Amino acid sequence: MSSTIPTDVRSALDSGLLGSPCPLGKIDHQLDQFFADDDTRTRASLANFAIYSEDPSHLLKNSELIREITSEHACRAILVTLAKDEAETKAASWISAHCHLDQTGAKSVCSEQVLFVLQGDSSRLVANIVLSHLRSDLPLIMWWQGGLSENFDAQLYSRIDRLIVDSCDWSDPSTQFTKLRDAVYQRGSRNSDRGQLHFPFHDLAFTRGHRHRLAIAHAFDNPVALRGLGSVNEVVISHLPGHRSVGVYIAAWLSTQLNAKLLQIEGDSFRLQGSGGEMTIQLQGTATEEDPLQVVMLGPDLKLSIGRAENPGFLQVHSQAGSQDVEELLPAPCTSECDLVGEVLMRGGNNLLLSKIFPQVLKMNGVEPPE
Amino acid sequence: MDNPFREFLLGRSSPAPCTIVIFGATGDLTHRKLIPALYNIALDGDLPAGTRVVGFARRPKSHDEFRAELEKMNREVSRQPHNEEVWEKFAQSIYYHQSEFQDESGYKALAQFLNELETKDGGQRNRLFYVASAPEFFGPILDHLRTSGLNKPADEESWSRVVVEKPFGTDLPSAKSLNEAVNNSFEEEFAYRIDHYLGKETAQNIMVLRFANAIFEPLWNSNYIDNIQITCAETLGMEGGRGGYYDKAGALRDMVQNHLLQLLSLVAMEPPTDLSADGVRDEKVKVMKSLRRMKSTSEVFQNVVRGQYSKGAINGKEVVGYTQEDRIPPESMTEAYVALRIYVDNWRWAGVPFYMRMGKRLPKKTTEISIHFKEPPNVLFSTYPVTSRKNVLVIRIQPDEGISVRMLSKIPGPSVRMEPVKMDFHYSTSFGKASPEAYERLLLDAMAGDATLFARRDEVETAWAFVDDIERAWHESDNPPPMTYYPAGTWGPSEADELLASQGRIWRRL
Repeated sequence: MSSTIPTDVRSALDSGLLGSPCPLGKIDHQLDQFFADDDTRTRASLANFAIYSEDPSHLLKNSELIREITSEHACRAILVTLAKDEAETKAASWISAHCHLDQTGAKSVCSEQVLFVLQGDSSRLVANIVLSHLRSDLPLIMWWQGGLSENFDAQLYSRIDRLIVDSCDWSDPSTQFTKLRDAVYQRGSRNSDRGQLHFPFHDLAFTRGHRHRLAIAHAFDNPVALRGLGSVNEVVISHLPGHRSVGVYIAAWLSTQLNAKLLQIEGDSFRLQGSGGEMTIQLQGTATEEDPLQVVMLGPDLKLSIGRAENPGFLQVHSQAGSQDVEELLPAPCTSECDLVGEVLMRGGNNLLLSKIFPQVLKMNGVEPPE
Repeated sequence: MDNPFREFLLGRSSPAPCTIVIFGATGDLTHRKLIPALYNIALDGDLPAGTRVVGFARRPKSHDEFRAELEKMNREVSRQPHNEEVWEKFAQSIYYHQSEFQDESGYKALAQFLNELETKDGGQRNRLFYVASAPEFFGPILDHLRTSGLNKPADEESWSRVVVEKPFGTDLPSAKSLNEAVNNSFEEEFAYRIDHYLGKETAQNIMVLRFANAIFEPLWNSNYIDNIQITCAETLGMEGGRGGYYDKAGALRDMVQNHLLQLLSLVAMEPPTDLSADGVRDEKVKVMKSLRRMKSTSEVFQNVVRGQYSKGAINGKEVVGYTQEDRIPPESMTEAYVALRIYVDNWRWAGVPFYMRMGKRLPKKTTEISIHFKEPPNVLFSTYPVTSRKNVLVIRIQPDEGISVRMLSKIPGPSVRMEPVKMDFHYSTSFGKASPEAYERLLLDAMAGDATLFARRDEVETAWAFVDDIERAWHESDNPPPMTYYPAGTWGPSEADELLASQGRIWRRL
């Protein structure tokens, strides 16, 4: 991955497409001026939302993402892009605002955007730059795109109120999950502090499976299906190539909720021991964009399959248990990155389910969970 | 056995699949509120698999005709766009059962129909009976549910519940009688009395505001609060033929007895010991029981103003007075406006007046609660001129849902001059997505067995006892307090202003 600024991004910066250049020390002042100049604009923010990327080619896409996200989640958006391989050491900033009409159509509600491009050696100033440009009293939600590099250090993550990552982007999940584990679990001298999450985090790979988890839970609300659950001995999870992490999260969730102990990992196959006997969970990277995630649960008394319906906004849930054969449609809007992040921003506080299954996720990635 | 996959997936009680039998299926409530609410729940993926709807009404109709009528209205009023595929699946579980409300054989046939449906589809046999008929049929419907055995669970694993719409009686005796009818057929824990204001996000937010934040509760008492105002203003008059019903009820019975006293109880209640249905409702009932009753006509005269609107203009359009409206008799003595001064006689609220008003044909549609704090001590800035020194916390229930705090700030300049400024929070600019409608929340709660947002028997009866004192003074005393009048499009009669002015206060300008 090249860490120099591509031509199209440089043109966008120079042309003002990504905002007005602004000296680092005058950002708040110039943002205040922007809102003071026009009474019809309402400055709105519930959070500081930072997107960090070490790939400058993502800058245009990230700015567009911010525009979409702020239509439903008012925030001060902070885009931090590193261009480590640029010869010149420089830190520069641009300001802009994303304005949308509110629900009544009467007011223009604006979320500020502050863009930082850190070139050369200034890339080590990430924590300093981000933390000194937050809106006070508002939480810091940080979306760290790509792998957790050396810039993901304690000075920064000790101040994050919520971290978003996407383990589907990690080329070396084992190393990355180890770093994540070390960051999110509090290392204190008191035993009671061990094993407790230091701050809430969200993995978009986990969020991608949200609708499937809801569908599985919905299917087992049916008492007849629930009776067959104990007999399930095989689960097949088909995910997109490169999205193995999505499958791992589903596998970890299923096994944790069924209190099944992980016995063995063989490549993409997990052998577990549950209360009903042994169970195998098989991951397959064979899904397509049209149907990016499928789950099939099999047992002598039950067959459950979940996948995308013909109408792409829905999941088809087919459950055969006892004498019942039930087919249902459940909503599952197609999930862009914006939708996934929006789903995370809708939540408050820690994701209790993710916290619970994370130790199993670590094990399934070959990483020791905390004590 | 609990579903292990539900853990942490729902932030609320899990609704169970059931058959919802709606009495009054051809009425406005069913078409405009109940079915669209269920459809939106289905569209959100929250409707439990196996949920069915059976409409019960007297007009002959086939299942398909009923579904077609419901679909037509759903397209117009649904909160979310009408989705053909989701509606198609949802509509397959909607049925129609024709019967008169007083016909016992109709209930026996209903029981048989439900048995057939449940046996064919399998699964749980839970039943939710929703009484959305005209009020005069509430009693007969409940009786027939009992005599036909429908009030009892169909088997050991199932439940049978009843939801009753307002108006819940017209006075205390009728409310007690109706409660007896409900409890003759259903145990109180299976009875749900709807007050849709409790399903509003902003009403639910009152408890969060008070008890999830540390800064308000220490001030939430007579030491710091001067008065509390609750206003429900409507621009509408008697459009849509509602005069016939309204003239028998009036503002006090139609809105104050239920919605506004519910809001008062949420504002005035003590923190509950837990968030269980009875934990919350126990505290609300204590507020109702602490309301100072107006036992004599003179107390009503001093503390209540009733009014009717006369000819005027709303949004620039001329409108007739109340007694010229369709289906309103010219000699009507029904109030279309009421203002009250209420006291909650307990340690927290002793001496703090709660001013409440509700009116038709007022200048704007708004419902809000405003908490008016006492003025600060007369020490530092007392000599500096200012329009008002009182801090005011406003909870806007609808529209423009949100909360604001008014406080004094120094105006920039060489001298000390102060003016009030507002800290403002708007749902529309803070939370992007629109909230579910109140009925969606309430239906899910009834299916989940969570009665927190429903009125309990004692709440209803205590509220009626309070209201009945006033009604008696108006309609049974020899020297009743007079009716007052205000032009449509103004903020009510001057007598309502005097209610506050006599204590050195004014209504908050809306």
